[in-house]
This record gives sequence, C-alpha cells and structure tokens, in this order.
Amino acid sequence: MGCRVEDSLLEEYLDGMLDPLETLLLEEHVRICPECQVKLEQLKEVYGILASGQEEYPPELDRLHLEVLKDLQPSGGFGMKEWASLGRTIGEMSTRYLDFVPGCRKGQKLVRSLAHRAPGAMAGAVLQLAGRRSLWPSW
Amino acid sequence: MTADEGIRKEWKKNRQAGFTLLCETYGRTVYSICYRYTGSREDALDLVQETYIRLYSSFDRIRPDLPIRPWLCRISANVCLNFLRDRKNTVPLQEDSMGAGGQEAFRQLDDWILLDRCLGQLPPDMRMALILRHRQDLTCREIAEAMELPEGTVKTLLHRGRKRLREMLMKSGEMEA
Repeated sequence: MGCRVEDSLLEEYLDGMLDPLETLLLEEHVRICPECQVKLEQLKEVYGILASGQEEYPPELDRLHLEVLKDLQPSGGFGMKEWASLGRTIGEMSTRYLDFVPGCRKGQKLVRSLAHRAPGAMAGAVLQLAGRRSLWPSW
Repeated sequence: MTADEGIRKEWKKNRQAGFTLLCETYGRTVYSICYRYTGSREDALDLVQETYIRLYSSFDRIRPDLPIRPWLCRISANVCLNFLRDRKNTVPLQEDSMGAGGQEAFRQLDDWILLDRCLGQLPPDMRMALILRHRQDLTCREIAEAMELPEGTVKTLLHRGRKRLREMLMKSGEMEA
C-alpha cells in the first residue's frame, strides 16, 4: 500500500526503455512489493491484448494498388494514340466547311480517308488541300 | 539487398514497378493501421487507397538513407487522423459496447474483438499512438514524428491509453481489479 513507483516506470520497463541498472532496481522492488506485482501483471495483460490477434486481410487489398495506379496514370499520358486522335479531329474539323461548298465532297472524303490511314500525316494533308485550290471547284 | 533498397532501385528504373513493389511489401502494414484505427473494413480500404495515392506522389521526397516503414506509417497515420477529423471525431466503432446490456456478450468475445472494442472507445490520437506502438512496434520517437507531436505528448498518450484500457478491461470483467 502506498507504493510510490509510478505506472509509467513499469511501462518503460515493459517497453525495455530502462537502462540495466534501473531494470535491476525495479525488478528487486517488484519482488517485494505486492502492489507493483499486481500492477505489472495487469499491464502485461493490457500489452498482451494490444498485441493480440492476427490481422485478416481482404482479398481486394492485393489489387488496390493497381486501381490507384490506373487512376494516377496521367489520363492523358499524351502518347501516339492521343496525337493521332487529335490530328484526326483537327483534320475533320478544319475541313467541315467543305460540306457546304458544292462539289467539294471529294476533298473531304480524301481528308477523312487519309486521317484514318495515316493520322500523323493529317497536318500535311490539310495543308496540301488548302494549297491545291484546283481540287475545290469541281463544277 | 534489403526490401527498401529493392523498392528504391525499382522506383528509379520504373515508377510503376517500384510502386507495386512498395505496396506488395508494405500494403498489409498500411491496412493494419487503417483497420485498427477505423474498425471498419470498407473505411480501411478507402484509407489505404488514399494512403497509396500520397505514397506515390511523395515517394521522391523521402530521404534515401531513411527506412521506408516509419515514413509510411507517418503518412498512413496522417490519413487516418484526417479521416476522423473530417468526420468530426465521431467514432464508428462500438460506442456503447460497455453498456450494461452488452457486458454479457462482451465477456464471450475473444481478445481480437475485445481489442477492437476497447480501441474504438479511445480518442483518435490516443488510439493511433497505441496502434503504432503495439501493432507496428514503432518507438516513441518514431510515433512522435509520425503524428507530428512532441515525444512527451506521445508518452502521455500511451500511458493514458493503457490506463484507460486497463479500466475498461476491469469494468468488463476481463481483468481482476
């Protein structure tokens, strides 16, 4: 009764944070102090429960990083595919007005077919079309 | 070569491969922290995902001479603490598990569930300190860094946390007074 040894010292003992001399002195004290013996036993039980049990891991955990990676991909890692798609869109848009020019469907078709065959060449095709005025008025 | 060296080497060669290796090596540690903290499988998986995103974006900033695990615990702890702060510190675990009606059922539970229930009743900071100390074996200093708190505060949190756990165990009859 009335033991002055603090719980925190017993915890440090269990955590292995005391130096050898302190450890020795505390062990000697606990041997003759029933109050500390009880406290130490209780603490050991708390430590045991805190460390008890084995984790169960959900199967999704193993695939979670793949989903994160997918989300983190610069959704537009702007690669060849994206450049090709952009080229196609620009080509199509830049010749859209030809739909309204009588007799120019041919030119439009040419651009579109080029876009699908070789998207990278779109810029060249558009320039070529723009330069070849003779293609335009086929009437 | 240690696991950390392997991860760093892989990361330098190819980020995606390095990240995959990082997650394969430490994914369970992250999940364990998140699950112990939230007590919910779904919330834990959300938090693991959030942690992964932060790991990916900040991996370049970790000093090459430091071990990865404490840094990873730090990010994970931050994600968890923010999660509950966002929820205005509500605790999703069994709030009233110590109620008089629940005591009988409580006694029948094994240590595993007992731990969940006890942890769920502690304040977030205290819970996280106990998880990092007892489930992840971090030192007080590492916990202090992970939680961005002074070391003395961590020691106090651990001490009070253990004391409260002991009281809960006594109250539930799991431990003799």
